[in-house]
Formats: sequence, structure tokens, C-alpha cells
Amino acid sequence: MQKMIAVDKLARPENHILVSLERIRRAREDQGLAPFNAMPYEEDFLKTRLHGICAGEFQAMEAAGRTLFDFPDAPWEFQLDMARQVWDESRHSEIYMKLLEYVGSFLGEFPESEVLWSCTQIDDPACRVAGINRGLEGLACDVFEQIIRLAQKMGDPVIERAVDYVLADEIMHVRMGSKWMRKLTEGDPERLKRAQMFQENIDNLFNFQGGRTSTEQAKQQPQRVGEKEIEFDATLTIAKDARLLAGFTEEEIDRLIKAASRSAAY
Amino acid sequence: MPDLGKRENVMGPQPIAKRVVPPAEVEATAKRITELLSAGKVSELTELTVESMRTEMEALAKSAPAGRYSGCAIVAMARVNLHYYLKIRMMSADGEPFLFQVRIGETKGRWMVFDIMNLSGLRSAWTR
Repeated sequence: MQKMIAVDKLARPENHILVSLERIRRAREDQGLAPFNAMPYEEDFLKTRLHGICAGEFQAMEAAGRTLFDFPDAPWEFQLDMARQVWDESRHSEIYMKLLEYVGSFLGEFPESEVLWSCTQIDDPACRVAGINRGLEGLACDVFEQIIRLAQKMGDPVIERAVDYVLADEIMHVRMGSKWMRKLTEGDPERLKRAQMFQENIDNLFNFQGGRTSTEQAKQQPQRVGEKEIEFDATLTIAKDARLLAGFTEEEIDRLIKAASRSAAY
Repeated sequence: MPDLGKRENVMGPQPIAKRVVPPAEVEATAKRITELLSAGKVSELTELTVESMRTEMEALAKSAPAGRYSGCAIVAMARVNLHYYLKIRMMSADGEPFLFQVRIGETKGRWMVFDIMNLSGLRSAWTR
């Protein structure tokens, strides 16, 4: 079986639309929308966000499976952790498919981008866990925390609890990533630096050009959710508490927040 | 995910919002594109395309020789807000299908092509 499957070789059923993040960005800009991601004030926010997460869970499942396969010489405990993650992500995929149905959507309503899979294109397991478990799963903590708060404001326990259950796993995935990033690079500061750089690149990729702030800094604006009008975030937020639970340091979180606000100036 | 239809008698939480139904213009535009491609009407095709993508549309039309294709099907559809991605397969008598993807959307009252990808002959992890 082939190792290091390239981004454009990601297998999907034919009745599925897979496009690059760049193309999705153009599609949004052509309609006068903020690039990259639906913002909380958009009518489609909940559907598109849950869809993006669902596709992300599928790719996270595939990525953990590929990491297991691509590095057969990695420690046995590492492989076991990756196998467990595959199982976690497959359950998450099912949960989000159900949530999509719940919000009047379905898997395939929106295009899938290959952005998470593109983070598997590195041949060092330490970089993989730094980028995917710490970078992307850290981002998942942010995104999930925001959806939980939105669900609380909507008074919707189904979304609130379902996402909370998944968040509990993601926190463990980040911790697992931190553990293996350090273990695999023990006594090799250069390798650790490379892994941290890889994660930093991924963090920067998801800064969304200033569309992210800390939860406290998020400007509130009125939004209609179904029959209700609520006040909610105008930006995508960085969930400090969830990230602290996941084992990120205060310094790492502050750096992320600063980087997000810096990119607004571009 | 299949459309589960009438669910009022199903236990458990019910959907809190309705599915978005694509407007009829989406299918009509797809039909128009495939008709023009089949007939080799390149200038009409480019007229249906936003300026920045006209070269790509000409290239797509070149890849699909006029008169070769007799049937078509939309094999996938996905939307970004009000724009729709369509994956379209055109069938030929010799069995070699032509597969491409477009993004269409309404601008100034007209449905136009905003993005084009020729997917014919591309290999994926499904194919060897």
C-alpha cells in the first residue's frame, strides 16, 4: 500500500464535491463574504460549520490511520494511541452526521476542502502529531467551544451536549499530541523545533486574517437563530479555558491570540 | 446522508431547520452548459462564464469535442452560500465519459459559471 498519500489523491465517492480551500475562498469572495469560513453572523453558519467539522472528523480519522500506517517503526504505544484516535474520530464523524441532519443539512450539502489532509504531508511522526493533534485539534477546541456557547444561547441541549462529548475527546487528542511530540523528539532539539514550526505554520494557516479573537474580545452582535434573536460573537474565537485543559501553556495561547490579531493588519 | 422523509412519528429530537432546496435555475444552467458543450458552441459558453474564467471555459470546450456526447448527469452538487458546485458527467457512444466540475451562481439576474475544473482522466486513491 502506498505511503504518504498526496492531497489530490484523497479518495471520496463520486457524488461528493472535494475542492481546495483556495477555491472555496474564491467562492465566498465572489459573493462578497468573508474568506475561508462562514462567520457566526451568517444565516448558514451552523450548517456550514457543522459540515466543515464533520468533513474534518473524517479527515482526522483518515489522518490518524495514515500516521499509524506511514510510520511502522514508531513506538508501539504511539501506534496504539493513533489507532484509538481513529476509533474516536469515526464516532465523531457519526455524531456530526447526525447533527447535520438535526440542523436541516446533510453530508455533501457543502463542498469538502482537503485542508486537514494537506497537514499529513510530512514524513516525521513528531511533526504529524504537532500539526494535527496540537494545531488542528487545538483549533477544534476553539470551534467546539464556540458552538457549545451558541447552543447554550439557542437553548438547544442536543447540539450543546453532542459537541461537548466530542470536545472531551479532542482535549485528550491534544494532550496525546503534546506527549508524543515531546517523547519522539527527546534529546533532539532540532527535531522538536521542526515539529513546533510545523504546528506554527498550521496555526497561522487558520488565523483567518484577523477573523479570530479571544472569547473575551469577541464583539457581540445580534443574530437570528430560527425564531430567536440572540447576541453572539462577530468573530471566530480562541477558547482559552478549553486549550488550558488540553495542556497548552498560557504563553502558547497568548502567542496564538497575538498572531491572530496581527494578521488583521494585512 | 439519505433524506429520511417524514419524521413526525420518529422518537427523539426532530430537525430544527429545513433543508435548502436548490433553485430550478441550477439544473437549468447545468442543462444549458452541457447542451452548449455537446454542440461545440464555445462563444455562447464563454458568454455564460465570468470574464476571469473564459480561457478555462475555452479549454474545457476543447477537451469535449462537439457531437461526441449524447447524455449527461449531475453526479454531485454542493453549495457555498448561494453558489453551487456541480459535478457533471457527459456520456459518449464510445463509452469514454467526460467529467467536469463547475461553480455557478447568479449575478445581475443571470446564472453564470464562476469556476471550472476538468476532472476527466484524473486519478484518485480509488483508481490505480
